[in-house]
Amino acid sequence: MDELALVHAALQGDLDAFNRLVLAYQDMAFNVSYRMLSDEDAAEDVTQTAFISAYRHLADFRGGSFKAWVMRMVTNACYDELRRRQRRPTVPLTPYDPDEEEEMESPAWLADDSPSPEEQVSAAELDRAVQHCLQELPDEFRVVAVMVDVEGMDYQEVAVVIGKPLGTIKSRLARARLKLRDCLQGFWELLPAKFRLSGEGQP
Amino acid sequence: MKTQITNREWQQLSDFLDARLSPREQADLEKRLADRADLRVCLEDLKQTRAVLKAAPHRRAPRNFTLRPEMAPARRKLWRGWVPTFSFASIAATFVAGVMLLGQFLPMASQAPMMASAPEAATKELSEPTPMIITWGNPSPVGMGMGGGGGPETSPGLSDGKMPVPTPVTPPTLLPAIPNQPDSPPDAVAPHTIEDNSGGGLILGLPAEAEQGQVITADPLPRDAEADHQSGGWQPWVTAGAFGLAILFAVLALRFRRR
Repeated sequence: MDELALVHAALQGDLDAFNRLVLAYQDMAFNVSYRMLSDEDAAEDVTQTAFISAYRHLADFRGGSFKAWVMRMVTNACYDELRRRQRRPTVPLTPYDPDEEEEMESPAWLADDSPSPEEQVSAAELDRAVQHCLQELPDEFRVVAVMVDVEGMDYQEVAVVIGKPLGTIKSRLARARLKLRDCLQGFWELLPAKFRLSGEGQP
Repeated sequence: MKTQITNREWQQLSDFLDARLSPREQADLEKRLADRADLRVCLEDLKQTRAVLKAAPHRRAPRNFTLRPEMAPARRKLWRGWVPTFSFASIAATFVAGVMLLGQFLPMASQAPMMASAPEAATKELSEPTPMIITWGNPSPVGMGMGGGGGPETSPGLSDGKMPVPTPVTPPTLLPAIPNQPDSPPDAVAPHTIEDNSGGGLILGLPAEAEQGQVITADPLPRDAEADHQSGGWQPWVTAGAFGLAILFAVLALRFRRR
């Protein structure tokens, strides 16, 4: 897929060309949004907003990595949503029970060809632990950890995404990993055996 | 086993995991890893942490986020097309305001010594009676020292009323210069060859032919200064207006840029 050609076509008004780019990056965009916001509905809204914003500002794309550029839109949309939450925090009308919601609404229980229930439980526990610990991080650390360790993005791309120098990325990533390690040790019993930490090496 | 490793070592371990160390730093860290068990434990913890994060389930997009034509903003170019215009206008207005501001202050700075003494001089001048100087086209009055003597002798307050006064006396500040006295025949005065180098010779010397019979008064406010004084009134307004426009255009540019 020639991204630059698709961008050029989109600039000429070819919406289908832009939608091909959307399809290529929507999973990553949604996953980053979800890891940042810890809310699927909000992540969905933010992802859609980010792609609309990307289309509007496509003329500002000056080449380079389109993935980094579009993920910057996603990150900025996530920051906007986090700021909005800080300004107007919302409280659910009914007490939130993650366990109950998981059992009642998870479509994974209905699938036949999915992994075994034990594996699903294990994956769900891992996901919950990771998400919990990611939420404990400051926003600027979380975005770096999600992009590098969860999404496997390159340092340079992340530097472009958040507009910080490479040294800042390295520093934030190291501190994020340190905090995550400390946090994940609290979920030691819940993690799969292969991921269990030593529990030693406290700084 | 409790360990104490520095933040710098943590960052080196993190960079080491991603192969981001220089060969020299890597060799140095490997040497320390071989020597210190606490560093090795921490490195293993970091490896596990990274593995946990990588193993976290990836959420797939619950739906397609492709744009429909009605979702594609058609007004983008319209709004954004104004951004350069407003940006340029803001810069231009700032420049104009800056030039106006400099124009107001720079002449003041260069003329500051003169202007500093000007109010005192003006006050002193106003406190004293403005001498009225009358030049006579006829031979000097008898007993008046050939036209000399200055203002006090010819001022209305000291005049005994018997002296011929060629022109009515009005307050000096309101009296315009009278070009010529029609009733004073210029040919009645013999041409003089005396050259007065003192700037007109109005008091002691004989006036020039064209100046005979004129009432000369000191103009308290020269025409140019008055014009400058009057013209200086609009400069602050223009400067303030330019600054206001600069701010307005900058706000508009920023606003349309965000759309």
